[in-house]
Amino acid sequence: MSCNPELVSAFLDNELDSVIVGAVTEHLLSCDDCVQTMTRLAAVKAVMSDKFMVHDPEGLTLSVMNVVTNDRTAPPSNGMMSFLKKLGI
Amino acid sequence: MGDSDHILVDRAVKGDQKAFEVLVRQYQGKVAAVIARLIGDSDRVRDLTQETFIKAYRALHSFRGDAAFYTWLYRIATNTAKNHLIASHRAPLDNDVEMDDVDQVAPQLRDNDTPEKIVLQDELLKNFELALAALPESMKTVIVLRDVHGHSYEEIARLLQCPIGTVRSRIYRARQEIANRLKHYLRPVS
Ligand SMILES: [Zn+2]
Repeated sequence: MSCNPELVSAFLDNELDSVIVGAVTEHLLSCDDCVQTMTRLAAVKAVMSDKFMVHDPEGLTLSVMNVVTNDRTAPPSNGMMSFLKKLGI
Repeated sequence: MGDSDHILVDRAVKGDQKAFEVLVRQYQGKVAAVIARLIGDSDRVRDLTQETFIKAYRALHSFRGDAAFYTWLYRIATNTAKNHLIASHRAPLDNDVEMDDVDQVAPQLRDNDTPEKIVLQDELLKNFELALAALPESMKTVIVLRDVHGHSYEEIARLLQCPIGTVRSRIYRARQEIANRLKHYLRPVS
């Protein structure tokens, strides 16, 4: 699917048709432009509804992800959990 | 839980960090607003928002899909704010303090904000109000019905007697207009 910022905006509102929500989610996982659009639109949505906005929301995401990427206590996947259980750990 | 939250949480638990990143982008504004409301808008809002998401990431495997992801995240955010207030002796040193109590303490805590921070957030809100006022009436109406009054697209379409597609497109264009006018705040602080 190609970039469609209108769908990104509807995604934030949880207003996507169930038949396309999967495709839009997949697109967001692979398109830097669209996730950056989403971050800006989400910041506007927050200031509209909560009268608060973080400065430089893109920078905030990057600093969270910087910690997450280097995190040693990352959540083990379900597959890994059952593997460890089988080993009796 | 919304379909997309479900997909993203599932993938993040399986180790897909990009999926977690999308959740961060989606919810960081709401989380920051909740924390700001509880502690006042100080420098700490950013750190505590970051802390909330890192705690959420580490606890993700314990998240049960029977509640909404945001409800779960909201609890982590309020607990993070509460712990911060306790640690900085700005709330009773009582671990059982309820968030309702913190809500009542919070307004007076705004006195602790630095004047610069208050000016910055006030300036942003002033510019936001100007951006909202500058929108064409048709866009302003839909965005207010959606983000302030919380109506669904379908309800708005019924109220305004227009197609849902028109509602969706006006909401997007209104947000984009406001983002353009607030772009100074959306960029990295130089
Ligand atoms: Zn895209």
